[in-house]
Amino acid sequence: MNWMAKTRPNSSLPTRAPSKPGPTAASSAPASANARVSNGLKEFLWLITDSGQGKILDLGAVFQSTVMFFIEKGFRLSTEDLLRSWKEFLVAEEENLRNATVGDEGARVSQGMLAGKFLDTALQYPEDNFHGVLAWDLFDYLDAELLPRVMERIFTLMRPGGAVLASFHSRAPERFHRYKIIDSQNIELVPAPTLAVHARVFQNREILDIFGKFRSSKTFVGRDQVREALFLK
Amino acid sequence: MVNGRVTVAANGRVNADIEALEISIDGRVEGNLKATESVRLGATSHVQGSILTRRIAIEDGAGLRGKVEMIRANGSASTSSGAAIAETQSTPKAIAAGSQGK
Repeated sequence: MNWMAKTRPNSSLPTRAPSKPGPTAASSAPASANARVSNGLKEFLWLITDSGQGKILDLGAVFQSTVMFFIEKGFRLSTEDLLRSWKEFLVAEEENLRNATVGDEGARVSQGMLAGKFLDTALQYPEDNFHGVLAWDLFDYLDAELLPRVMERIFTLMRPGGAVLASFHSRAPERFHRYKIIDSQNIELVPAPTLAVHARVFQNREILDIFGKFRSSKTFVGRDQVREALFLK
Repeated sequence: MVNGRVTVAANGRVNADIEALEISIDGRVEGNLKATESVRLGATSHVQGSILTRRIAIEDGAGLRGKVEMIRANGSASTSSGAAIAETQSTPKAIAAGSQGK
């Protein structure tokens, strides 16, 4: 762990929870019923602030408020809705399979092959490119064959010292949400049509294994029992 | 730079870069969007390419795979390099078959 290597500025940047990471006081919670405090975001912003006009990759749905939030702070934002792309890819592959002639051996594909083919077109960015990656509700929705390949790709896309903010459910969620940033420590969960089925609940040890190549981590557990995990390359 | 307004309707598909004063997308676009005034991504839109504009409006449900950059008051992009749309995933030039509202 090397979180103490960076000194915290006293400007208007997000402040850290005094000593114990975790949810901030209820009084600071936003009014919207679908909003939640994100201590992970607060810490993420603090970590990437030194990058100046740093590059951020948001792997969720694009929202006006999230785009403007980063642009107004001087970051350069790229978005790629990975779950949506994966779903569209699978639909297209299914169509191809349906149209394949009977006995066409080339039409047979394994999950591993699908994952590889998907990544031939997804997450195509230069290596060491991003200072930060946002991945709320992503990794525990990915296919077991796809997940490690995505993690490998994300690792290569990130600059040394870059941070990934991801969320993991402690139990299967009742419905599917997309996430938009409200401000430096609050996010809104936007109910959305289910893009993917929640694949599994990861134990903390498993999450650490998934991010095995990253050098340090920090986890924040919200009142909704969603774990926000922050990893440094 | 086209000094006009470009609209891609909900059932429209465009495989090309678009430059205009104002751009409004409700369909699918594979290409970069460059607007001197504004870009609007409707709830049914899906854009694969970078966006460079002075103002942007994104409706919930819109899809974007690419970079967003804002033109500053002095006309420069909000990047330090000025290589505004160099990292896009595709730069298709041909317009594909399909409806396109302009």
